[in-house]
Amino acid sequence: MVRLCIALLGAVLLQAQSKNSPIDKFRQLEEVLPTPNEYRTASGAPGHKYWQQKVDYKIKVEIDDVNQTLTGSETITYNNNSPDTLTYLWLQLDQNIWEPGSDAMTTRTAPDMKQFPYRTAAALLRDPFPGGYKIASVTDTTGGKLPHTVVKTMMRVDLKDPLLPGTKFVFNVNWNYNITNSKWLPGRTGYEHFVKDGNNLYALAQWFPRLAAYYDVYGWQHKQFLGQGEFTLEFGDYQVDITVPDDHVVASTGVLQNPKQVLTSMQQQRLELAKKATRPVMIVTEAEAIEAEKRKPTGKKTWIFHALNVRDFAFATSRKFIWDAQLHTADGHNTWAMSYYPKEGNPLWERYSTQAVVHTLNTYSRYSFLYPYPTAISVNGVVNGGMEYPMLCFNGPRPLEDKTYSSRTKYGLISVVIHEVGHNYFPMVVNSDERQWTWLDEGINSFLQYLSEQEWEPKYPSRRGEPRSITEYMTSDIQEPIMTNSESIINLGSNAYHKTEVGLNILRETILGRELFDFGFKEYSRRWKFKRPTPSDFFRTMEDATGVDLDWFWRGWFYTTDHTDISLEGVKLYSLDTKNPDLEKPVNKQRKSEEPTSVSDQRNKSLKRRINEYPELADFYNKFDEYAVSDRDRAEYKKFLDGLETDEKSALTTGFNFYVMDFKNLGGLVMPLILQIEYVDGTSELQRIPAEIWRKNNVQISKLHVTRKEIKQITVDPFLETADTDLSNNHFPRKPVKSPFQLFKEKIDKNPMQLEKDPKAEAPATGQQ
Amino acid sequence: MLGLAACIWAHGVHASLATANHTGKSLEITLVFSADDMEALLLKQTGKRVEIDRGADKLVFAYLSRCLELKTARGAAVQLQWVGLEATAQKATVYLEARLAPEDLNGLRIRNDLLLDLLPDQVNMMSVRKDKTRSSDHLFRVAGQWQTVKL
Repeated sequence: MVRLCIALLGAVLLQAQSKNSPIDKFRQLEEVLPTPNEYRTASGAPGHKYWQQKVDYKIKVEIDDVNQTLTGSETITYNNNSPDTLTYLWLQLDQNIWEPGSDAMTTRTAPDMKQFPYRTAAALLRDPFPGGYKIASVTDTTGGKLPHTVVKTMMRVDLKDPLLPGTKFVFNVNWNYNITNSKWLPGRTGYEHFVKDGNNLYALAQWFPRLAAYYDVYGWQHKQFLGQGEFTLEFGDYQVDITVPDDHVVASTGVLQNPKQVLTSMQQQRLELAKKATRPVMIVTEAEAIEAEKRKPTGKKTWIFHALNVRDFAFATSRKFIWDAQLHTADGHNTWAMSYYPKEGNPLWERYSTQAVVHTLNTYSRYSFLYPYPTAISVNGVVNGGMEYPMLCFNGPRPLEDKTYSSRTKYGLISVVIHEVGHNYFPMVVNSDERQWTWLDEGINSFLQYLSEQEWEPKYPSRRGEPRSITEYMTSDIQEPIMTNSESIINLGSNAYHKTEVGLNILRETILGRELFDFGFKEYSRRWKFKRPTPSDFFRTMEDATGVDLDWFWRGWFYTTDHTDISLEGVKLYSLDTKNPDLEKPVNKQRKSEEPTSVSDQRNKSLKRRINEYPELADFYNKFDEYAVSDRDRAEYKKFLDGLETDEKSALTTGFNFYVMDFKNLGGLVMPLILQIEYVDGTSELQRIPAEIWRKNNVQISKLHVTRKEIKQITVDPFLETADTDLSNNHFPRKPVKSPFQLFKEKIDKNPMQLEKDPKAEAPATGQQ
Repeated sequence: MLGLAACIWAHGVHASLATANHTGKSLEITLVFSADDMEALLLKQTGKRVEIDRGADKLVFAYLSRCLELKTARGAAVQLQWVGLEATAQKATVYLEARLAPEDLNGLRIRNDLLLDLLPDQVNMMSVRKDKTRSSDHLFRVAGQWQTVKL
């Protein structure tokens, strides 16, 4: 008895731990999603008591180009719209990751000492960079000092009186810091020094003490900043006065308030021209920028920008900037699409940057909402990849010094501009919490990036998007569900970006269809525009708006590490027994004669038999032919027919084939069954069977297909739309399938003569694509 | 430690994904990584800009040969052979091949330090597969670490 119990317990445990557990694929998500309340409804919309804080900033900031320092003072108005009384406020001090003793600095691990580049050695030998905020003062409106405590990259400001719901608190912060050189301390912000002309280009972000977010499901979002994680912030209005050397050109979040003071009359005239242009217009030409590189400033200039309803503020400044602009108009709303770049970015930037900005505004607005801001800017410099801020982003790709560039550099630039400008929608406007859920902005943005890329030109070399691109990751044991906190995910690129992007593609192309998906997605975007959604708000809205229960999909794709592997195990053919002896008996006889003759029977053929010697041994049974049709058979058939209804009779005689296809779910993930059925007569048909076919049995199912024709071949997922990881079991009859490795090798193995002979063959890959 | 860590792509996508399928005679390795990160690394190493899809095969192979090593359980080095490189807008795929007897697959030792010297948060995933059902999955986060294939 005891032994039996142990054995059973073992079996249960094994099942629970199994990656491919045959239970629960269609269990509803109610027990997993947070309970709806008056802030967030069960339909996925903001509730009737939804609230969020509002923080307004008035900032004066000055850049010292000689010493590369930033000095600022700000007046912050914190509007407590929450139902809670607050006794302190938390501010983010992101610059503190550059403090010599910061967590980001001290937790770095040793470099590979066997491959020690010269530059690394040079960097190691430099004195520690005196980075980080110097907070000069934190005061209230009367100048009284406010107690404050710096906790690494966060600062708590204690309030003298509790801040009641519906009231606001105004206070001032003064600060300064040394700006990081991106060559030594690469990151999202800093300055780039150009040795040849001696000038600097500043990309300034995360440059002022900013209020941390406080919201209904999380309270204060004040996870420490280690340099990798991103943020969530509060919306508010900004008035920012930026003082720089008087020969600099400034690109910034917001709208320039004093163009007459800071722009030349020529620049103002060109901007007027750009208002009506259908292509980007140069506001500062490359020749003018090269002239400017040689100048020295004679004083300072202050550029004033206002930005309404943004969650952050960034700017860039340099005398090296070339500037082009185009006024983009959609539904009566005007947006300045603009790019700022040094001559080192050309000829790539003048041709592609602003075009890519306008393209992004067109495509993203179609899928979500009309771009709400007055500017959309792409800046080249400092950041090596790309980084997004409201209305403005930094993008890295540049041509080589000889002004040529490879195909990848070109598409790399277009892709990164689309991605970073696209972030204006997610998360700059649909303000999800990036510290908690990377996928909710990065995955959604990568998905829209893919759609936009495909609208740029045919066969655009997108990084990912097609379901087949995720299969290697999906089968790996080293992964977590997407619904895991960002900090705990091992491979954010494959998980939060790639898997989310592919999942949304499958939802759009295969499960919901484009029209239904686009309606649901637009509704999510509209509901959460200028608000802060959580994953459940997304899941619920998509079901609420499309009318389709998608719990099985969210559960499988977002809450598990199951993968798609549907195997077509076998196909059985049944045909109806017509009971007509004149039809059935000859067929049965034929079948019998087709049965293989056993070895013994073959060898016994010439055997002498007793019955041959004594013919009298043969009686009725030796002469009886079981396949001969007798009158009695015919009479019985007639009796049978007479007892049938007319439609039953016709079903008997029309000659249908009944094919039963047996499928196994080897990967665990349930998916729609997409079947291409080819017939012997050369015709074919496509069947799309919803995933609910698995609802009663997640492991194996059989599907009946009735046809007059004879099936030649069946293919599961013929267009590779479900991320099926093993295609070798997708065919009946089975077919060998080549791996990407073998396909690549075949492509490069063809020599030019073979290619000449076979015009359909692609050129051998030399790394170009 | 300044300057060693680069936050190249401003988002946390510092990862490579490799699969190594054993065909019976050889190991076919497909290695996918960020093209931006590899270009940043080659810039650091050579001091000049390199575009990964323009004649950079030799440089990339030289680097990969240093950071991706295989040896049998008895300690014999397994030579990697270059098959080719493909690049899309932001991703690079390198194809490598190594002759390996079937009996040497189980117990094969692997070191995969790809980009670990450039990016403190780089992770390298590698699946070694004998057939569809048997796979040995590895995660490399620290340079200089050897892992053993168990199939």
